[in-house]
This record gives sequence, structure tokens and C-alpha cells, in this order.
Amino acid sequence: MSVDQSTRHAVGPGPDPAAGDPDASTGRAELFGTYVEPEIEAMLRVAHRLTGSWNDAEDVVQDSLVRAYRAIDRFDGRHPRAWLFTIVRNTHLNSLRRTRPVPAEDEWLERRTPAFGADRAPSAEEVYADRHFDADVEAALAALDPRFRRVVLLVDLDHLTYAEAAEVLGVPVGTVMSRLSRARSRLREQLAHRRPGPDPTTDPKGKRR
Amino acid sequence: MSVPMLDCWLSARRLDRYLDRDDSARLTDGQARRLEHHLSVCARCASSAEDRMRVRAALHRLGARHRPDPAAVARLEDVAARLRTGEGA
Repeated sequence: MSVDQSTRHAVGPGPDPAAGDPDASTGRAELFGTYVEPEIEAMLRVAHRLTGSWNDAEDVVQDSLVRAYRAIDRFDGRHPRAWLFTIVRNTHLNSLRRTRPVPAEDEWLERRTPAFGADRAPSAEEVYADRHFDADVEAALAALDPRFRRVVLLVDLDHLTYAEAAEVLGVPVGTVMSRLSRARSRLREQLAHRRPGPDPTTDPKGKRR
Repeated sequence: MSVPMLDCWLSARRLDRYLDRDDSARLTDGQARRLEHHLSVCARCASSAEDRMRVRAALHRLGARHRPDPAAVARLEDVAARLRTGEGA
């Protein structure tokens, strides 16, 4: 569902129940500016996790913005990100029903490239070590079962809360926590060869000297 | 003197929650203090905590590197602004 940027559909909220009521329109605009617009990048990240494609994610977020605008006067103001992520998820599910069901994978994990442009670390040695470690982490992440990988992506890379990740995935918070725990455990197992050597300040039983 | 195994077991179960500080599963102050004390005396669990933090830091760096295209964010911000001002209707 790759879409040329110039052909994206026209935007419009459709029939507006608040039409003709200036106060309602103003209130809706204020709520939209307060709750929705600051979260656009987060919505795009979440949509990318669901679709596996930045182009498709942009389409999903565009549709989600329209839905959010139409629904915002019914939003109770609690947990705005969770509310928005639910809209993103439902919009994604609707788009899948309209098109073929493509299993979402992460493009960048499928074609992992060297990690250029990483955050600056204090020393050249740390940058070097981090890059090598990061490449191993990326490989370990790509090797995870998609169900587990997606939770790690949402929580550890995109910084969603457990509850927000649960909304995106349509599973209970407990499921998010158990998948996250297993995923992280597997990552650590995969990265065991990168663990620093034994600490000379400890005795063989693990007690600190 | 060895470290009690029960504390190691509890530590392993609670470390992620301690590090995440997520509202859905936040440790109580007492649980956090007990864990912190255990990490100060048990090298094995302290090492496990360091492993977890190292992997978390790498995942955070990955997340920072794979941010959305700013042009895409700008296009969506434009969509939102047009909705808000009624120009997209």
C-alpha cells in the first residue's frame, strides 16, 4: 500500500455534528490542539509498528487524525495517548479489511543496516563499543518472535507505557508484561557473549567483597 | 555468608518493574528499598541489573535512530492544523 506523497487523499472530517455551532467547533479545535496534535509523532511510530511501513503508517495516521477530530468531543480527557493509540489500531485494522492482510514486519529490522548517526557518547571508545553492542542488540531483536518483538519495540524503543502498549496490541496489560519479560530475557540470552567478564570485587558466590 | 536465594528470586522477578517504573506495575516503596538493598550486597543480581540497563540503553538508542521522517511528521501536522482550522472540511 505504498502511496505517492502527491496522491494522498484530501483531508476532511466529513459530516460535522458541530457544524453551525461556533462554540462547539471552537471547543473541539482546542481539545484537538491540546490532546492530539502533540502526539502526532507518537501516533506515527505506533502506526509504523502496526503496518511495518512508514508510507502506510502515514496513511493510517492521516485517517486517525480525522477520526480523532470527529470523536474528540466524546473523549473524557483521561489517558489521551491510550485513546489515540486505540484509534490508530482500529484505523489500521479497518485498512487491513479493505486491503490484503499483510503481516506487519519492521522494514528496518528486515534490512538491518549499519548503525550510523547514533547518539553521541562521551568518548570515541564508548561510541565504538556501543555501535558494536547495538548491532548485536538489533540482530537479537530481529531474531525474536514477532509477538515478543513488537512489545519491546513499543515499550523500549517508542516509550509507551504497558497500558498504552496493551491498547495498541489489543491485549491485557498482564500479557504485555509477560511478553516483555520473556522478550527481554531472550535478548539477554542472545547477548550473553557480550557480557563483561567477572567482577574482581566479588567472591565466587556472588557476594560483594 | 551467602545471599538468600529467595531475595535473588524476588530480585529477578522485580528488576524490570523497578527499572521501568510503569504506573501499571510500580513497586511499592518497601519493595523498591528491599530490592535496592539486595542489589547492594548481591553481585550476581547487580550484574543482572547492569545487563538489563545496558540492553535498555541500546534499545533506547535504536529508538532514537529510527525516528519518523520529519517531513512525514510535518505533513501530518499540516493535516491536523487544517482539521483544527476547518480548512480541510
